[in-house]
Amino acid sequence: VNFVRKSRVPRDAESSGELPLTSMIDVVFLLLIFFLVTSQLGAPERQLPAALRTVGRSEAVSDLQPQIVRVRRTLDGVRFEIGGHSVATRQELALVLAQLPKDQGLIVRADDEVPVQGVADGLQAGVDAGFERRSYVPGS
Amino acid sequence: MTPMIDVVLQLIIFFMFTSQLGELVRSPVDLPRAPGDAAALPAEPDVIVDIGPDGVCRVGGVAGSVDDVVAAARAAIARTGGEASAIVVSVRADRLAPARTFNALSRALATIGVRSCVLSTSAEEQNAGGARP
Repeated sequence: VNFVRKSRVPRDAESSGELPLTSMIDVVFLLLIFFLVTSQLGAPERQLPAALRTVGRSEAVSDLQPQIVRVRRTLDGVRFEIGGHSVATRQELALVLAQLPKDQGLIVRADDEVPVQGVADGLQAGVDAGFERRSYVPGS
Repeated sequence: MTPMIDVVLQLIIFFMFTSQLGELVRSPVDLPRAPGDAAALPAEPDVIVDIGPDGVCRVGGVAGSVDDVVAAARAAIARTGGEASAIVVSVRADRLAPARTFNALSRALATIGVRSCVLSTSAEEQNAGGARP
Protein backbone atom coordinates (compact mmCIF):
# COMPACT_ATOMS: atom_id res chain seq x y z
CA VAL A 1 0.00 0.00 0.00
CA ASN A 2 1.31 3.34 -0.90
CA PHE A 3 0.99 5.30 2.31
CA VAL A 4 2.32 8.48 0.77
CA ARG A 5 -0.83 9.99 -0.56
CA LYS A 6 -0.53 12.50 -3.28
CA SER A 7 -2.47 15.66 -2.77
CA ARG A 8 -3.68 15.85 -6.33
CA VAL A 9 -3.39 13.96 -9.52
CA PRO A 10 -0.59 15.22 -11.70
CA ARG A 11 -1.69 17.23 -14.59
CA ASP A 12 0.14 15.09 -17.08
CA ALA A 13 -1.52 11.85 -15.90
CA GLU A 14 -4.97 13.40 -15.97
CA SER A 15 -4.45 14.90 -19.32
CA SER A 16 -3.12 11.65 -20.76
CA GLY A 17 -6.26 9.74 -19.69
CA GLU A 18 -4.69 7.51 -16.95
CA LEU A 19 -6.78 6.53 -13.96
CA PRO A 20 -5.65 7.70 -10.49
CA LEU A 21 -4.98 4.21 -9.20
CA THR A 22 -3.44 5.01 -5.82
CA SER A 23 -6.68 6.10 -4.15
CA MET A 24 -8.63 3.22 -5.62
CA ILE A 25 -6.08 0.70 -4.40
CA ASP A 26 -6.28 2.19 -0.92
CA VAL A 27 -10.05 1.82 -0.87
CA VAL A 28 -9.91 -1.69 -2.30
CA PHE A 29 -7.38 -2.85 0.29
CA LEU A 30 -9.48 -1.35 3.07
CA LEU A 31 -12.51 -3.25 1.75
CA LEU A 32 -10.47 -6.44 1.61
CA ILE A 33 -9.29 -6.02 5.20
CA PHE A 34 -12.85 -5.24 6.30
CA PHE A 35 -14.25 -8.44 4.82
CA LEU A 36 -11.32 -10.50 6.09
CA VAL A 37 -11.91 -9.29 9.62
CA THR A 38 -15.71 -9.36 9.67
CA SER A 39 -16.29 -12.68 7.89
CA GLN A 40 -16.81 -15.45 10.42
CA LEU A 41 -15.25 -18.65 9.27
CA GLY A 42 -17.23 -21.58 10.66
CA ALA A 43 -15.50 -24.18 12.77
CA PRO A 44 -14.64 -27.26 10.71
CA GLU A 45 -17.13 -30.03 11.22
CA ARG A 46 -16.26 -33.71 11.46
CA GLN A 47 -18.38 -36.59 10.31
CA LEU A 48 -19.48 -39.91 11.78
CA PRO A 49 -20.95 -41.99 8.95
CA ALA A 50 -23.35 -44.76 9.94
CA ALA A 51 -25.73 -47.00 8.07
CA LEU A 52 -29.36 -46.74 9.06
CA ARG A 53 -30.98 -50.04 9.90
CA THR A 54 -34.10 -51.37 11.40
CA VAL A 55 -34.19 -54.67 13.25
CA GLY A 56 -35.65 -57.24 10.91
CA ARG A 57 -36.50 -60.89 11.07
CA SER A 58 -33.46 -61.92 9.06
CA GLU A 59 -31.13 -60.71 11.79
CA ALA A 60 -32.85 -62.86 14.38
CA VAL A 61 -32.00 -66.08 12.53
CA SER A 62 -28.47 -65.09 11.62
CA ASP A 63 -25.70 -67.13 13.22
CA LEU A 64 -23.17 -64.31 13.04
CA GLN A 65 -24.45 -61.41 15.03
CA PRO A 66 -22.83 -57.98 14.96
CA GLN A 67 -21.68 -56.38 18.18
CA ILE A 68 -24.58 -54.43 19.63
CA VAL A 69 -24.04 -51.42 21.87
CA ARG A 70 -27.08 -50.25 23.79
CA VAL A 71 -26.95 -46.65 25.00
CA ARG A 72 -29.14 -45.91 27.99
CA ARG A 73 -29.87 -42.77 29.96
CA THR A 74 -29.20 -42.99 33.67
CA LEU A 75 -29.50 -40.56 36.54
CA ASP A 76 -25.84 -39.61 36.38
CA GLY A 77 -25.47 -39.54 32.60
CA VAL A 78 -25.25 -42.24 29.98
CA ARG A 79 -24.23 -45.90 30.16
CA PHE A 80 -23.06 -48.03 27.26
CA GLU A 81 -24.02 -51.69 27.50
CA ILE A 82 -22.46 -54.41 25.40
CA GLY A 83 -22.78 -58.05 26.34
CA GLY A 84 -22.19 -58.21 30.05
CA HIS A 85 -20.24 -54.98 30.16
CA SER A 86 -21.61 -51.62 31.19
CA VAL A 87 -19.32 -48.62 30.90
CA ALA A 88 -19.80 -44.89 31.31
CA THR A 89 -17.39 -43.26 28.91
CA ARG A 90 -16.51 -43.41 25.25
CA GLN A 91 -12.93 -44.34 26.04
CA GLU A 92 -13.95 -47.32 28.19
CA LEU A 93 -16.36 -48.47 25.50
CA ALA A 94 -13.63 -48.26 22.85
CA LEU A 95 -11.37 -50.44 25.02
CA VAL A 96 -14.09 -53.07 25.37
CA LEU A 97 -14.93 -52.98 21.65
CA ALA A 98 -11.27 -53.26 20.65
CA GLN A 99 -11.16 -56.77 22.16
CA LEU A 100 -14.14 -58.04 20.16
CA PRO A 101 -14.22 -59.49 16.62
CA LYS A 102 -15.00 -56.82 14.07
CA ASP A 103 -15.99 -58.80 10.99
CA GLN A 104 -19.72 -58.62 11.60
CA GLY A 105 -19.70 -54.91 12.28
CA LEU A 106 -21.17 -52.82 15.04
CA ILE A 107 -24.69 -51.72 15.79
CA VAL A 108 -25.32 -48.74 18.05
CA ARG A 109 -28.78 -48.48 19.52
CA ALA A 110 -29.74 -45.51 21.66
CA ASP A 111 -32.88 -44.95 23.69
CA ASP A 112 -35.06 -41.91 23.05
CA GLU A 113 -33.98 -40.21 26.27
CA VAL A 114 -30.27 -40.38 25.49
CA PRO A 115 -28.75 -37.06 24.40
CA VAL A 116 -27.31 -37.02 20.90
CA GLN A 117 -23.85 -36.76 22.46
CA GLY A 118 -24.34 -40.33 23.66
CA VAL A 119 -25.16 -41.48 20.12
CA ALA A 120 -22.04 -39.76 18.81
CA ASP A 121 -19.93 -41.30 21.59
CA GLY A 122 -21.22 -44.78 20.76
CA LEU A 123 -20.40 -44.37 17.06
CA GLN A 124 -17.07 -42.72 17.83
CA ALA A 125 -16.07 -45.62 20.08
CA GLY A 126 -16.69 -47.93 17.12
CA VAL A 127 -14.42 -45.77 14.97
CA ASP A 128 -11.73 -45.72 17.65
CA ALA A 129 -11.93 -49.49 18.11
CA GLY A 130 -11.47 -50.10 14.38
CA PHE A 131 -14.97 -51.13 13.26
CA GLU A 132 -15.38 -50.38 9.56
CA ARG A 133 -19.04 -51.37 9.37
CA ARG A 134 -21.10 -49.29 11.73
CA SER A 135 -24.86 -49.11 11.82
CA TYR A 136 -27.35 -47.17 13.85
CA VAL A 137 -30.64 -48.67 14.93
CA PRO A 138 -33.18 -46.41 16.62
CA GLY A 139 -33.99 -47.62 20.10
CA SER A 140 -37.13 -47.55 22.21
CA MET B 1 -0.89 -3.02 -11.57
CA THR B 2 -4.10 -4.00 -13.37
CA PRO B 3 -3.81 -7.78 -12.69
CA MET B 4 -3.26 -7.09 -8.98
CA ILE B 5 -6.39 -4.96 -8.82
CA ASP B 6 -8.29 -7.73 -10.59
CA VAL B 7 -7.12 -10.29 -8.04
CA VAL B 8 -7.98 -8.05 -5.10
CA LEU B 9 -11.45 -7.34 -6.43
CA GLN B 10 -11.99 -11.05 -6.98
CA LEU B 11 -10.98 -11.68 -3.36
CA ILE B 12 -13.44 -9.07 -2.16
CA ILE B 13 -16.26 -10.62 -4.17
CA PHE B 14 -15.29 -14.06 -2.83
CA PHE B 15 -15.44 -12.95 0.79
CA MET B 16 -18.69 -11.10 0.26
CA PHE B 17 -20.39 -14.17 -1.17
CA THR B 18 -18.93 -16.76 1.18
CA SER B 19 -19.75 -14.80 4.32
CA GLN B 20 -23.39 -14.49 3.26
CA LEU B 21 -23.71 -18.11 2.15
CA GLY B 22 -22.17 -19.32 5.39
CA GLU B 23 -24.90 -17.65 7.35
CA LEU B 24 -27.63 -18.98 5.09
CA VAL B 25 -26.58 -22.62 4.94
CA ARG B 26 -25.24 -23.32 8.40
CA SER B 27 -27.33 -22.42 11.35
CA PRO B 28 -25.53 -22.41 14.70
CA VAL B 29 -25.85 -25.83 16.33
CA ASP B 30 -23.95 -27.05 19.38
CA LEU B 31 -22.71 -30.24 17.77
CA PRO B 32 -21.62 -33.35 19.70
CA ARG B 33 -17.96 -33.31 20.63
CA ALA B 34 -16.19 -36.13 18.84
CA PRO B 35 -13.21 -36.28 16.50
CA GLY B 36 -15.20 -38.14 13.83
CA ASP B 37 -13.99 -40.67 11.32
CA ALA B 38 -10.87 -39.30 9.66
CA ALA B 39 -10.67 -42.30 7.32
CA ALA B 40 -14.11 -41.72 5.83
CA LEU B 41 -14.37 -39.76 2.63
CA PRO B 42 -16.08 -36.43 3.17
CA ALA B 43 -19.67 -37.04 2.25
CA GLU B 44 -21.59 -34.66 0.05
CA PRO B 45 -25.00 -34.83 1.65
CA ASP B 46 -28.15 -34.65 -0.42
CA VAL B 47 -30.22 -33.53 2.55
CA ILE B 48 -28.97 -31.58 5.58
CA VAL B 49 -31.12 -31.71 8.69
CA ASP B 50 -30.58 -29.60 11.79
CA ILE B 51 -32.04 -30.76 15.10
CA GLY B 52 -32.26 -28.09 17.76
CA PRO B 53 -32.00 -28.59 21.52
CA ASP B 54 -35.79 -28.74 21.64
CA GLY B 55 -35.82 -31.62 19.16
CA VAL B 56 -37.31 -29.60 16.31
CA CYS B 57 -36.04 -30.48 12.82
CA ARG B 58 -34.90 -27.83 10.39
CA VAL B 59 -34.41 -28.42 6.69
CA GLY B 60 -32.91 -25.52 4.79
CA GLY B 61 -33.37 -23.31 7.84
CA VAL B 62 -37.12 -23.94 7.96
CA ALA B 63 -38.57 -25.64 11.00
CA GLY B 64 -40.58 -28.73 10.28
CA SER B 65 -41.35 -32.27 11.32
CA VAL B 66 -39.88 -35.65 10.50
CA ASP B 67 -42.40 -35.89 7.68
CA ASP B 68 -40.92 -32.75 6.12
CA VAL B 69 -37.46 -34.32 6.23
CA VAL B 70 -38.83 -37.47 4.61
CA ALA B 71 -40.42 -35.31 1.91
CA ALA B 72 -37.05 -33.61 1.30
CA ALA B 73 -35.38 -37.03 1.12
CA ARG B 74 -38.00 -38.24 -1.36
CA ALA B 75 -37.35 -35.15 -3.49
CA ALA B 76 -33.60 -35.87 -3.38
CA ILE B 77 -34.26 -39.47 -4.38
CA ALA B 78 -36.33 -38.29 -7.33
CA ARG B 79 -33.57 -35.86 -8.36
CA THR B 80 -30.89 -38.54 -8.33
CA GLY B 81 -32.78 -41.13 -10.35
CA GLY B 82 -34.83 -42.97 -7.77
CA GLU B 83 -32.02 -44.78 -5.97
CA ALA B 84 -32.78 -44.33 -2.27
CA SER B 85 -29.68 -46.17 -1.10
CA ALA B 86 -27.49 -43.60 -2.88
CA ILE B 87 -28.87 -40.71 -0.83
CA VAL B 88 -26.76 -39.34 2.00
CA VAL B 89 -28.52 -37.50 4.81
CA SER B 90 -26.40 -35.32 7.07
CA VAL B 91 -27.77 -34.73 10.55
CA ARG B 92 -26.50 -31.74 12.53
CA ALA B 93 -28.04 -32.32 15.92
CA ASP B 94 -27.60 -30.39 19.14
CA ARG B 95 -25.55 -32.55 21.47
CA LEU B 96 -27.97 -32.12 24.35
CA ALA B 97 -31.09 -32.81 22.31
CA PRO B 98 -32.75 -36.10 23.22
CA ALA B 99 -32.26 -38.80 20.61
CA ARG B 100 -36.02 -39.14 20.23
CA THR B 101 -36.15 -36.99 17.11
CA PHE B 102 -32.99 -38.59 15.70
CA ASN B 103 -34.51 -42.02 16.29
CA ALA B 104 -37.79 -41.08 14.65
CA LEU B 105 -35.87 -39.62 11.73
CA SER B 106 -33.68 -42.70 11.37
CA ARG B 107 -36.71 -44.97 11.47
CA ALA B 108 -38.58 -42.93 8.86
CA LEU B 109 -35.58 -42.67 6.53
CA ALA B 110 -34.82 -46.39 6.79
CA THR B 111 -38.45 -47.09 5.91
CA ILE B 112 -38.16 -45.29 2.57
CA GLY B 113 -34.85 -47.01 1.81
CA VAL B 114 -32.30 -44.39 2.85
CA ARG B 115 -29.28 -46.17 4.29
CA SER B 116 -26.50 -43.59 4.58
CA CYS B 117 -26.56 -41.18 7.47
CA VAL B 118 -23.78 -38.86 8.59
CA LEU B 119 -23.81 -37.41 12.08
CA SER B 120 -21.92 -34.13 12.16
CA THR B 121 -19.65 -33.52 15.12
CA SER B 122 -17.39 -30.80 16.38
CA ALA B 123 -13.71 -31.50 16.74
CA GLU B 124 -13.57 -29.66 20.07
CA GLU B 125 -13.26 -32.28 22.77
CA GLN B 126 -15.26 -31.98 25.94
CA ASN B 127 -13.25 -31.62 29.11
CA ALA B 128 -14.28 -34.72 30.98
CA GLY B 129 -17.12 -37.10 31.58
CA GLY B 130 -17.22 -38.89 28.24
CA ALA B 131 -20.81 -39.19 27.20
CA ARG B 132 -22.29 -37.23 30.04
CA PRO B 133 -24.18 -34.16 28.89
